[in-house]
Amino acid sequence: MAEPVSLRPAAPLRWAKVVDQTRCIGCHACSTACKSENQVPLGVHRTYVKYVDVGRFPQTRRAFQVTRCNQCAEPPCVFSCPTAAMHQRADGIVDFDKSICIGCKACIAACPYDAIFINPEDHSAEKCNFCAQRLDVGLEPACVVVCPTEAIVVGDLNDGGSRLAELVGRDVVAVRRPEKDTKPKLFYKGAHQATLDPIAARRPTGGIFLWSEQPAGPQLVASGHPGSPNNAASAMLAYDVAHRAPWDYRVSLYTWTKGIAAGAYLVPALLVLTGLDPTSPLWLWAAPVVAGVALSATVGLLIGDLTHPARFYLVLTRPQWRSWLARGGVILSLYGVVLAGHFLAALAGRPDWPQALLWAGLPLAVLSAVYTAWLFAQAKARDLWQSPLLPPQLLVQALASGAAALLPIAASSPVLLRLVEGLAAAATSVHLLLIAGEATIAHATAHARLAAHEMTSGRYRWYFRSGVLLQGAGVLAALTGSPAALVAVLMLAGILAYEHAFVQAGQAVPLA
Amino acid sequence: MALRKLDVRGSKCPIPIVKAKKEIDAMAPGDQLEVTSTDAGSVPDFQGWTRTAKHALLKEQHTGKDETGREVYIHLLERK
Repeated sequence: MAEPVSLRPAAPLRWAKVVDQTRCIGCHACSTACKSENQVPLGVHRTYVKYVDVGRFPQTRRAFQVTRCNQCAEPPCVFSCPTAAMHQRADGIVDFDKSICIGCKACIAACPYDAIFINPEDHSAEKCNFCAQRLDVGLEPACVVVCPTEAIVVGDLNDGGSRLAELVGRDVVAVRRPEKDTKPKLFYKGAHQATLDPIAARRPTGGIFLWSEQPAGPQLVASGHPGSPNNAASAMLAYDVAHRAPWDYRVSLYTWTKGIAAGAYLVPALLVLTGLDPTSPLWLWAAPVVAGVALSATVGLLIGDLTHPARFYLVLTRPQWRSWLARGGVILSLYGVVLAGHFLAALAGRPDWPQALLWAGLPLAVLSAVYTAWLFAQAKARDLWQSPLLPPQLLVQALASGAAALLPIAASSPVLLRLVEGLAAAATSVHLLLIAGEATIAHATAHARLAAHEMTSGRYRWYFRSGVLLQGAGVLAALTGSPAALVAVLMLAGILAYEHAFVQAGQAVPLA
Repeated sequence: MALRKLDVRGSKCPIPIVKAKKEIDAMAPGDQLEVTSTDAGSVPDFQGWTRTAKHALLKEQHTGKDETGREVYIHLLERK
């Protein structure tokens, strides 16, 4: 028997949400229902309601925003997850698998909505998953069924007859951060720009909210704009939850040790290519030993930063290849193999082998230095890290760090010392020039401008300023013939301080 | 003595209690009400509410599976 012919093929199911802010009364029923449905621990949130007070007396209003995962059609968290623990289901829901999460926090750094957190009890990343466990058995999400004003509507975006499709297609709806190219499937009806834009509202004086205080601490990001907000309507944040920066000092430190690991091989390799004796101990021994020690520290810091350190091997055994964390893991592993080969060849008394290995080592060292630029750029939420100058900057930084780290060893030969010192001074000068560009060129977005402000004159100014001064002092010390150890310490300390300011300031802007 | 049934599957606190109270208020003393819920939180909710409610008495609570295979929580109440 012939199959019935359908004029229009059935479109696949595509779950989407509308939050009607014209109906929302800010009662937090959705926040509490979500907590009980998903057993969300205290201090973290899959969903909450942000309050912003707009206007001046007597013309005022309170604007609400139900804040949660935006169920992006192009989810940056999924692209950046190294093990595919964050994944997108066929029906469009962005879900997560806690059993393979390594806790690298790349998804948190990537999310432009600050909707992901590490569960303090099981140490895995989680967020709103559309109550997939309820949808799968035919129940609406917990927040939908408790909302007393029916302000949350879920449905199939491909079903023209659904209430959701009607709202999305015929009402005036908006999404958060459209410039991030994530194509959110959470639409807001009647939301105020002062709530949609995380820096449109001013941070309240003294950090006092309507009924709570803004927590302060090393990794905490205070909500609201600290200075003059991105809105002229006198908006002030009245309630928000605590937000944290995902990557702490370990990531700042990792970029620094990785720079040394790459540069300590690159500098002698370049010298060998330009005529240095291939049996010179700087190339034969110092390159693999200094780079190897720094690379081990790098890997140690990377693993130490995971909330599931014992699962680090999943990056290599089940890599998600779009993730620069997975790609970086492979690059660093291969680079480590080359360094080990180089060292073993030196031990075996075969100086010709390291020279042959150089053709693999050189590109791997360059990749190890620069891949972090793509890793940071994958953190879509952080505008400061989207700089196209970052790859050259990281390469120059690696050359400066490597040369500086080798200085005490090169000091045994005056000719070599002059060469390495000259290289360190030149690379550090170019690095300072690139930093000057980063700090002074106008930034394209209000977010990036605020991040640069936090770096140069705000929360991280002392790291930034001492970083610049120490690097400058290092260049001066090199030019005036100061002891090699002093030059090395000044340059390396300067680079570390600057890097910490850059990494932390990138995360210092509120996102929700 | 009549037995009424109330289906509150899919809803969460406080809807199961609210709907049960509306139903109980319209019943005669001695009548029974069987509430079927999918919310695990409804178990302590009904215990707590019947402790203070004027007209409702909790006779029995048990779990089971409904026709779709979902876990359900069944509460048997009596109008006082």
